[in-house]
Amino acid sequence: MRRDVFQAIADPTRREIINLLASQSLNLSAIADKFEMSRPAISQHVKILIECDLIAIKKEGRERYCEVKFEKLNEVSKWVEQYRTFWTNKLDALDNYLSEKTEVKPKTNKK
Amino acid sequence: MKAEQVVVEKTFNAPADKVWSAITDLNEMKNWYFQLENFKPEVGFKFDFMGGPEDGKQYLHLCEVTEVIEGKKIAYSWRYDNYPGNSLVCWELIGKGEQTLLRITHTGLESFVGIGAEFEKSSFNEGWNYFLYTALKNYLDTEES
Repeated sequence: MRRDVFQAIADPTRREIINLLASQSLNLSAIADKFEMSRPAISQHVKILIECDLIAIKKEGRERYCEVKFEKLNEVSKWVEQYRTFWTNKLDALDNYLSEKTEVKPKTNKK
Repeated sequence: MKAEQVVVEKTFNAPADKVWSAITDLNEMKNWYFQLENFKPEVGFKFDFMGGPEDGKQYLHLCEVTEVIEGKKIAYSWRYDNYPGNSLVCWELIGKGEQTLLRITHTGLESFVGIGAEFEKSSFNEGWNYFLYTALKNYLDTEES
């Protein structure tokens, strides 16, 4: 089965887990406490996130904390940014078009 | 992280009816959007077009109009032929007299599982940017002169 960052974020629970971990590293039971879902179900989501390389386990003494790997998340924002760029440019093109269309009457506006 | 969406907006120096026809009239759309064979702002109307990087793989975009409020709002689904996932592009017009605010909301981008990775691989980004920044800009500049 494929494991990549896009699959990781395709699930709403996994997106919430990432959200949670973005502000603080937590251990598994602390994560599970935040959800209605069973701990094994949460554990499964965490496992997928680890396989997708979006979160990593950090050991501190006996505790094992999950932390977000932000560089991976950037892949997602790059993907979304492409769409933002695309639409922003389309709006600019529309603006140019509308300006030409309305400038049929000669005006002394700046070009 | 929420579901992935993009919201862009811009205010135009044109009344809402002018903007509405620019975004829904086939002959006007050709000037700034995509070359479509046909377009009708009617729920259930389907259209498609090719798009992608200049020198790279072209993707067939499949769209279907899902909502129309004449002069105010139009939404259509937006997906890629032979790929999973579906997204929604929503256009909203807010008239302010001689000016009009247009807001585009593109939701559901997270559902394109894996396409993102492929686009990355085929350096979609570079090609797309070339199209938007260079090709389109040249076209518009030529038009103006």
